[in-house]
Amino acid sequence: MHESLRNLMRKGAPSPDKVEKFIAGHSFPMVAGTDVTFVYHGDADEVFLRHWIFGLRTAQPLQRLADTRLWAVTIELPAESRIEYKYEVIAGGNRRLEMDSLNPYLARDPFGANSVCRGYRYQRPEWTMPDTTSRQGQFTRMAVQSTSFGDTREIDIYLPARYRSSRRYPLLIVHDGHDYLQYSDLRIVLDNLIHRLEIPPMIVALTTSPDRLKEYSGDERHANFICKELLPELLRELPISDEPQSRALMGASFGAVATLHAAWRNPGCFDRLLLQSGSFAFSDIGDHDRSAAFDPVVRFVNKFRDDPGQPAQKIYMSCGVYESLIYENRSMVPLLQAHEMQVRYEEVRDAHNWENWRDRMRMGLSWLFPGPLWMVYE
Amino acid sequence: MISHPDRTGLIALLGPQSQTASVAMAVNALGVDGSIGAITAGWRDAEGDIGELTEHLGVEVTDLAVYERVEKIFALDVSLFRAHRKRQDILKQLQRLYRVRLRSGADACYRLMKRSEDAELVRLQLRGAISQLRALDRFHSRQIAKVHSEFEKEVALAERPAVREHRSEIAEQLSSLGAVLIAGGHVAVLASRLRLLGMRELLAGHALIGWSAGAMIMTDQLVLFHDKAPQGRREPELLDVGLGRASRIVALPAATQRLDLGQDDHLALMARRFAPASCLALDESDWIAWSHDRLLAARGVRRIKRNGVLAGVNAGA
Repeated sequence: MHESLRNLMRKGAPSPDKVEKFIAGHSFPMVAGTDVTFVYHGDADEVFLRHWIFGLRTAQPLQRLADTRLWAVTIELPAESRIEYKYEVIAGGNRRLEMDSLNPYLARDPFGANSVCRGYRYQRPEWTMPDTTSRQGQFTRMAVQSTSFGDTREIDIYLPARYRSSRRYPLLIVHDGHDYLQYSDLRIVLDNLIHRLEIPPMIVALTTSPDRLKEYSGDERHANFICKELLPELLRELPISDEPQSRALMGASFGAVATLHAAWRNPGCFDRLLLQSGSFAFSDIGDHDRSAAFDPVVRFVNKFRDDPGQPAQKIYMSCGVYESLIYENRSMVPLLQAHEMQVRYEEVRDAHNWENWRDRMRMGLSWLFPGPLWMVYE
Repeated sequence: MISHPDRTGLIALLGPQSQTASVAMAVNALGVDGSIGAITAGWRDAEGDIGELTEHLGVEVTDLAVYERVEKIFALDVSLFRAHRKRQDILKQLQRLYRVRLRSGADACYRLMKRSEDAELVRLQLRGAISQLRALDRFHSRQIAKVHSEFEKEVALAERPAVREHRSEIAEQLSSLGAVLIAGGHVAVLASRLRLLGMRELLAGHALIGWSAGAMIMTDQLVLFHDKAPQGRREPELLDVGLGRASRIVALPAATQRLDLGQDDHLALMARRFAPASCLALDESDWIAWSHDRLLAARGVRRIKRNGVLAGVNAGA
């Protein structure tokens, strides 16, 4: 338990006033090196810490502190960890999930939001935050008629600051692009990295799927849409460099599966891939132990592992060590390298979430598309 | 105002101008009068966007349109453009190959710096390793010079009508200018465009004031450096030769931002590798000026010493 909390409780239960003062004077969770004390304040019969760290029990019980409304649990969290969590509160026979009201840091995702514990030495990278000196890119939208899907897909296009139609730009196509914008601050990241010359000015196409679990799971229609419909349309309409090495495809989770699958089915289309926490489930023999949504993924990944070919020249991969997918991602690396693809792989103490993916973009994008930093002295 | 015999040999190297523009300070202190010209080719297609610069200086500035002129030459003379592209490709390949040898040579130096055997033995081995690195730099310089010379001979650069026309227009413009400013930007683009127009000869005898890449270009050799890039540090690299007006100087613009100043080993190696040239850190608002090799003024500029420590440069020192 954190020392100041122990001091508070030294003489038995403190008065409610003292507790309020204590709460006002501290930040939560309480991080002391690698020991992190989670504190809940409220009426409850039982409180659990619910986190998404693969390898630890999903629910860790908090202990009520003497005769107070304070509950606490201390866990060991290695340096540079970042985890998302909620409290599961059981009171009067009801069970509810709550965010930590004592902690201002929240991470949003398509399902809502979680509280964020910034472990010892974790710092949100400053390039993920708005910088008034960075020139901003602009968005435009285009509709792409898809024969593969039999519908029309709206694609948002990021054009870098000082965009000129007379120039030629690299292209990045992002699966779940709107989620990347909303939950991973993609626009801020692009503006900052381009402004700092860490990546070249680029055109970024944001795609979104009405049924991602199906379309992103190794679906031929999706691979055709990306390579035979969307890409030619983008090349026709926008000043994009003509070489495959100037084109990248990226995605996270099922979006990474969609990325790898589209590139594998259309080698030479994209020479650069950025794969984050890919859901690369496979089975060496027998069945996999994941949900039915993974059936087509496993079929694709098994085929891919049998015959990877060369879907791209350069691949950046990342995965959190607190993810259940860490084994699948790790085992992908030697396979890709054995087939003469350049692979840069990063593991971090984070889990399957959008802020993990946000924090990795600088390394991934600047490795796939090095900016002119080395050559420019303003 | 700083007194100096004549302006023909005047040169000033400045740090970046993004936060605190010090060009006007240098121009005034050096007593530059008359019209001022500018080379902003390092800004590439933003060349000539000198509104802020003109406002800052409070005098008329004429951009020499170096980048645009070369674009026009290439549009008219396609075979020259093709030959130029071919040369650039060869230079890129040379740079990649040089980098392979450079990395292992520098690694050997850093490893030796950490050895704990007899100090005298280590010192001798380190001296040998640095000398190999210096030999590699010289070899690379010769290779680059050879590529340029073969290109210029092959295309008869000085004889091509479009090139001659633009050179003579620039010479005409320069005849009425009191000084030429060379802005920062993309140093390889700046170097290549200046070379194509033969600016080394055209600018000879003119007062030059350059910042960042513009300061680098005035030296004998262009040294690329950055310790804080997202993919990690790279050993400083020789890219090309410069105009040679600031001789025995390696200009390091935005040094505090780009160099890891806590790494004495890296700085020491840089100082020893490029000696007898002085490695000068040029940060925001820093500037240094010479006239015919006589140091006139130095404001804020620091030199990297052989032990990797930074020391201020004083006029008269």
